[in-house]
Amino acid sequence: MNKNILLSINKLKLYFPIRGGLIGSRIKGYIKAVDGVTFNIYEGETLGLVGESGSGKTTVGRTIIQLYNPTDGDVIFKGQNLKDLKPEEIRKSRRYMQIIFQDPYASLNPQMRVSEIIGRPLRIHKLVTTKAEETERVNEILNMVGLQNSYRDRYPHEFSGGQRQRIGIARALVTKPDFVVCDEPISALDVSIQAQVVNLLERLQSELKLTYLFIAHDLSMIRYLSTRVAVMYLGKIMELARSGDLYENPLHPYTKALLSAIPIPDPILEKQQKRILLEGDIPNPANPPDGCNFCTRCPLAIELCFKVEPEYREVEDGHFCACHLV
Amino acid sequence: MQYLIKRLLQTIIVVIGVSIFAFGMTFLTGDPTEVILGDGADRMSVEEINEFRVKMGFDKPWYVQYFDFTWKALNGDFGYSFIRHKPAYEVITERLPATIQLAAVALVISTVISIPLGVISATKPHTLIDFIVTMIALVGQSVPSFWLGIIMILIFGVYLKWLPISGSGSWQQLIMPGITLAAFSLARNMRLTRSSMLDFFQKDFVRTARSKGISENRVVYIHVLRNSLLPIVTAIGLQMGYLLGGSIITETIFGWPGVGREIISAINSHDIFVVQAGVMMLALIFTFVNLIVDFVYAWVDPRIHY
Amino acid sequence: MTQDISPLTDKKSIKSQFFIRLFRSKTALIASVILLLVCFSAIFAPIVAQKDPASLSLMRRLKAPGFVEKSTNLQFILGTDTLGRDVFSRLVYGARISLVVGLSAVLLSGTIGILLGLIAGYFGGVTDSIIMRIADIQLSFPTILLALAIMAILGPGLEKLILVLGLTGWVQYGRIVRGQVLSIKQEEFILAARATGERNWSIILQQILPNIWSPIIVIASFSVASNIISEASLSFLGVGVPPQIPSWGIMLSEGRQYVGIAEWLTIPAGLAISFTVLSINIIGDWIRDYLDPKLKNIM
Repeated sequence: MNKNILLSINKLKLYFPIRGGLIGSRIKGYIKAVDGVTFNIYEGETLGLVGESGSGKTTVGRTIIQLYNPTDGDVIFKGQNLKDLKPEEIRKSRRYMQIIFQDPYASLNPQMRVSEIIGRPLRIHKLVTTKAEETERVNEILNMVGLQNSYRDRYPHEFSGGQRQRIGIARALVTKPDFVVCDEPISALDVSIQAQVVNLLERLQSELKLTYLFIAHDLSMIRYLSTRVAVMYLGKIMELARSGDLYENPLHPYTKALLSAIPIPDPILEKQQKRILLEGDIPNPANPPDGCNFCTRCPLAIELCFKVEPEYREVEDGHFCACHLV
Repeated sequence: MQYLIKRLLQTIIVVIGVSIFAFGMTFLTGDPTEVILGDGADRMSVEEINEFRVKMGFDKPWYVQYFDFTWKALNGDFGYSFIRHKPAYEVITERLPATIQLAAVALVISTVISIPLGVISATKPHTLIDFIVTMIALVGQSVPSFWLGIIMILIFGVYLKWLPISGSGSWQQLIMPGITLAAFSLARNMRLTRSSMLDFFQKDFVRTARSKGISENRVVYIHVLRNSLLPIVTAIGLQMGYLLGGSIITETIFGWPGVGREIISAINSHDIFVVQAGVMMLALIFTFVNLIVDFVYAWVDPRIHY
Repeated sequence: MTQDISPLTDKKSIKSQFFIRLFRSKTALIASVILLLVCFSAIFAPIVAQKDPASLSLMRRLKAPGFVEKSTNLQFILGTDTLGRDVFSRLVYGARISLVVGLSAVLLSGTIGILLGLIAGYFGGVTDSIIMRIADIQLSFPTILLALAIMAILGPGLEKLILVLGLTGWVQYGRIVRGQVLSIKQEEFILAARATGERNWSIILQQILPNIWSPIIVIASFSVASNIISEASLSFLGVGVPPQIPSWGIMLSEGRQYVGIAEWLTIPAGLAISFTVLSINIIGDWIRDYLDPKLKNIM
């Protein structure tokens, strides 16, 4: 695995304004979907990003590729700070950073044929000059994702969920990007299909030299896929470590609770498993607690946790954590 | 509450827009002087035309004119009718009751006939009755009202001599214009009632009511009709616009002395201020009727809160 | 990969499905036939009418249907009008006017309405507010009134009429399109298009528009009918098409004074309008049901 940094995200913030007032002009507050997130993504790795619903993981992915405009913070892609780019330049850079969406039923235009869906990115970025070239490239990527050439003239509704997801993958990869955000790409699929798609994604990663940000809420799948894993809660990263380190040696109480909840296939071990149950309410994302975001539900919280926000720092080699107790 | 305020603000903007339009009407060909003088301008010398222009204030910049216009309008001064020799405002307002009477009668005829027929047609779908009703509705929406009026005059006025063909004052004279004006709305409401009720019959809560053993009549009238009334009420409110516009044609055919007929004759005699006043009056009435309908709707439908 | 795929539905079989269903509905079929007749008459007017609708002769004014002019041996199947013109020819050429106005006005108002609806829906913000305010103001006038007022000032004229009808009729398209755009904008495939780096107008025209044709087509078909009636009404009142042009509305306004004396002046024209509009309405209904039964509440 290369140690070159492909993406550097620094104190990234995305706040959604809550509007009120007669014409909707007055801003009542902000939903802090992403609240100061910092990490690097190295070339060729798969960085897993986990968290519960509302943790901000999907928003982070979309903000990195500039689908949402960051409220604050930097995204430095291949050495270039995207903040400094004009909208047209960002548009051009999109061929290098792509996204695979979660819902295969909503992410494909029902009125477009497969060949059109996959061919568009090529045309938008002027990567092909003739129709024949485009057809060739589209066929090439179709085969790579395991679909037949004859499927090109069909419409999305003629395909199953798994196949549609492959089309989505083909669309994301046709421009040969460097970086791909995988936004829960298998969550909406049948379990039997999930493994197939995951294997496909792995194979493509090595064939096309891709770097993934893999967003999911299935911890066991993430462990299998990722080089490193980050855990998010309410817009902030709680812990980030190499995959093995995180699962063997979790430092943050939230991570520990999550891991303890993973079902174990062996029934005897499963019975012996001690579950850490989280009690308390999830704070309002528009009004997070003063101290650590997790303090309202943390079983180990001390007084300091409610007052001062813990610093996100490197505790051991390559192992980051934001907790006062570490 | 917020909704009401929003709606009011919207209405004010609309009223301003209406006034701008009414004011701007005379500028459509560039020079209001020409519009007013019409053909008479040919017989006048250039000096006379200019005199006229200054007298009427058309030489002033447009925003000054607009201000004058609005100011005068608020005071009820819409200019003078050269033909009727009265202030335009009076010409319009004295004919307003007749138009409102006609529109009201048409509204009543339309509602009273369309809803029961729509209900019948919905409760016995795909039967002969339904077919007849639907056909009448289709025809009613397709036949131009003025032709309907002419035909009615022909049949009931000329051939059968049952009804008077023009003028106002007696209830007999109200019948044909009333029906003519009501025809389109009637047809539309019939179909709307029918389709609205049919939609509701599909809904789950009706099935529940039926399975509870409630008598079919109760189901029809209380459960389904009540709910389907909402879109019908909106439609009726919206039809005020059509009725006001359609009154122009109906009044012309039957010689009904209302605002509509006056507007037409004013157009033909180039009595521009009367046209302006009439158009503005009808538009304003329409706007306020819409506002009231919206309020009633918001009051009736507990789900609306903007 | 042996997953279930639904049967291939290529575009050809969709077209044949269209005609199969058309033939199943007898009323729609009859309506189509009538409409085709009207269109045929309009396009091939000279052949169908065989006479010049403008040729007048006071010698043969107000002759009843079936009249044969002795000097020329010409048959006037529907009689002549107040200026001796052939009623039948005027009827046939009148079809031209109605269709031309009906279709052109729809084209104009549709284009404006779709464009403004797309812009308002996609870009939102101030532009959206402004467009919607203008729409509201326009809607605060009963349509006939608005067209009437403008035509009254401008004077009769075919192009003016089309322009006015087109400019006043855009709102219904604008509203529907805007609503559709607002709901589609949120769909993930639009987000995906932006993620791919597609430009806004490309997304609007090539991704969103193809998904919202159905309601537009339905509105357009009913619009043609209402425009035909508007033209007839305005011409009837004297503010539509200039009196020299044969329009069904003008025929009715001229014939009105002779009700009871010369019914052939008013009945054929009225029937023509009624049947044409009726056919369009029937077909419009059918199209709406064919495209999407859920659209019933729009009209």
